[in-house]
Amino acid sequence: MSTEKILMKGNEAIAEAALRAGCRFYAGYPITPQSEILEYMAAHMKEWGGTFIQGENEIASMSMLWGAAAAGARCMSSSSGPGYDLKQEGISYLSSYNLPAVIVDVMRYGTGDGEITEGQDSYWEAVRGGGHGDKRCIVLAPASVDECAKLTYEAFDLAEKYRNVVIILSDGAISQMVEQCTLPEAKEHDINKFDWTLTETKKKEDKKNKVTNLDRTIGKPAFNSMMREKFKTMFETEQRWEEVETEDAELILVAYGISSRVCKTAVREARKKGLKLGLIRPISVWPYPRKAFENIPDHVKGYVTVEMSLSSQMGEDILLACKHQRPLYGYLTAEDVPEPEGLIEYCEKILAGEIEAMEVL
Amino acid sequence: MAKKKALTNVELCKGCRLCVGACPVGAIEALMQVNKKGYEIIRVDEDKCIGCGNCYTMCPDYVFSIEEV
Amino acid sequence: MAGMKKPESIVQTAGYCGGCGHGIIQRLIAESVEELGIAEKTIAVVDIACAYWSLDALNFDGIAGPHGRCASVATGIKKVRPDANVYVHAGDGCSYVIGLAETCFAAARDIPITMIVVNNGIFGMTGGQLCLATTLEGDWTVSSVKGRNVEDTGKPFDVLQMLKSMDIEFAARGAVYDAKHIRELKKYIKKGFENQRDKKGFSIIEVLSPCPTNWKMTPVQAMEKIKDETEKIFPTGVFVDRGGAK
Repeated sequence: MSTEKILMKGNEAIAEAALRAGCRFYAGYPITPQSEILEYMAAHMKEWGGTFIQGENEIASMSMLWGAAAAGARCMSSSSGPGYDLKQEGISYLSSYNLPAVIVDVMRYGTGDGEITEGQDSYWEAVRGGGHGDKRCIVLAPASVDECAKLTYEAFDLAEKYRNVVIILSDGAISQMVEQCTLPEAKEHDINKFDWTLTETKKKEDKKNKVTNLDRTIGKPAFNSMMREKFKTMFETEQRWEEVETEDAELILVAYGISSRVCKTAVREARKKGLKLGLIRPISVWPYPRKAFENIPDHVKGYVTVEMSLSSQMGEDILLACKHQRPLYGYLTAEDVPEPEGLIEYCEKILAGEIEAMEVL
Repeated sequence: MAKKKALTNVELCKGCRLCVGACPVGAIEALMQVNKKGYEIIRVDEDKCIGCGNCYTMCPDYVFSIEEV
Repeated sequence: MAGMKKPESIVQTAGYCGGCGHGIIQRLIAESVEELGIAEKTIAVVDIACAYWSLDALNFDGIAGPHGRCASVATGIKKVRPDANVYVHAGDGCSYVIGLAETCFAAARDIPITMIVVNNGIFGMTGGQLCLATTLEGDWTVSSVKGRNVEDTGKPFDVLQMLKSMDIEFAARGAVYDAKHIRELKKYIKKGFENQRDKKGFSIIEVLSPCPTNWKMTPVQAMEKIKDETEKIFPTGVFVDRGGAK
């Protein structure tokens, strides 16, 4: 099967790309707005010869995933909001055992009592890591259906490259959006590819594999330096971002996921009025694309974080990235998708000196 | 037919004494003497032992093996 | 009486406290697997609690599950590697309390794994707290110092009875308090592995086992307690046998 273009929902693109990447184990629990991923897997996993399990809860689903990952399979789970909270135990264990897996968090806003809305309230949980443990997960934030497919497909390779958890940080808006999407070529994964997995094929004289905290098997000094090296390599190598009209921008908007789409419109519209806005769109939110904030030109007066959260969860990453060399402003909209008109007006006020820089709390 | 007897590696013993009661012929004696790990050990009276294997079955620490002597 | 010698698969001394039943259970697992010639296909899932000691002690591929989730971890492994002999060695806190849902749903799905649950009526590794499913009424633990009060904690319950309503392959309860029962228990454990070898369904074997350290008893007294008290509440024997391995 080669690549093909097709009209799809964001959630479906994630599921289809996972199958094409060789994902043959999925376990999860229904929750809005990620349920189409689970439903898609339920409908199609068997065609690919894999296993779909609707778990009794998120924790069980993650533990199943953990067993499957330890046994060498490419595996995935997905959730939203409170369901993603329950996945933290599993993510922490996967991380402490250095097991590769792809976890999708389709963000919504708040606990969603009775009403589910789009949102970007789980940035910290995904990027800083909601669970216990000395870990860093690679976090990729798609901003289109096409990118849902592209990043998910790639996530499996990254997970294996680093023996690390990779999180796809989607949101309620992207998840339900229907767009044209290029589906990647299908490939098979060999579950006997690695020498560290649990297998039923060993010979008597073979050393038996214990899948446990790696420091127990390779020793603490080796483990410590391996982990330091891994964090550093991931950070240096895996920064991804897109820039729009930053060459001469006076104010640079910073946004990921659904918010970044609005920002693109805002940049275009503002420039019609002579207002020089630009956009940095992090695609990897960990590692944060700090390279995009190096050597800040003089024409940049400040950064505006545009997020669907009130606490400005990404703000501190921008300040770290620009080393506090520019003021930071926040256009923060909680459960409402930001609107370009309001954002442009906000930027005009910043440049008119009517808005004070935001303090990150 | 060669007789079977219980042989012991008392260095593995943790002094639980479960074997003493498991032996149907009272061939296992609890000693005050300790092994390298500091646990009080046992001794099998070879003359009494009938090689039934109850001690092997009961022992959580693999002290016993039943072998032909 | 052949083969009454420490199984080859046991490559370390038992790490448990003196008189602990885990060492016996671990040996029965090793004996059964070796006798069936499936040692190289075996993958152990042990709980992060006392059973963890068997991870390195037994020369099988193995993984330590997150506390309580062993049945789920085993499910994941078995689905991905259906020809493997996947077993769980975990306690009653793991399998019947924090992971009760996971145990029940592995059973409900009839996942062909062999689950060995050590019922010692207490949380051993964390220092001897009450186990909601298995601590007997009135029993002293460090979190029930006046004895288990069922008004506060509810009564212990029989998980194997619960599982009888599910379409599973095999459920049995054995005990380690004397050689006769240990031999019977071994038949159950072996049957659990045979079921898996023959592509049958979910097998669970619960073991009444002592924790002399946390029961504050000598090993001999602890075994007597199982015989005189525990077995009366949690009777030994076969609860479910769908036919399984012949």
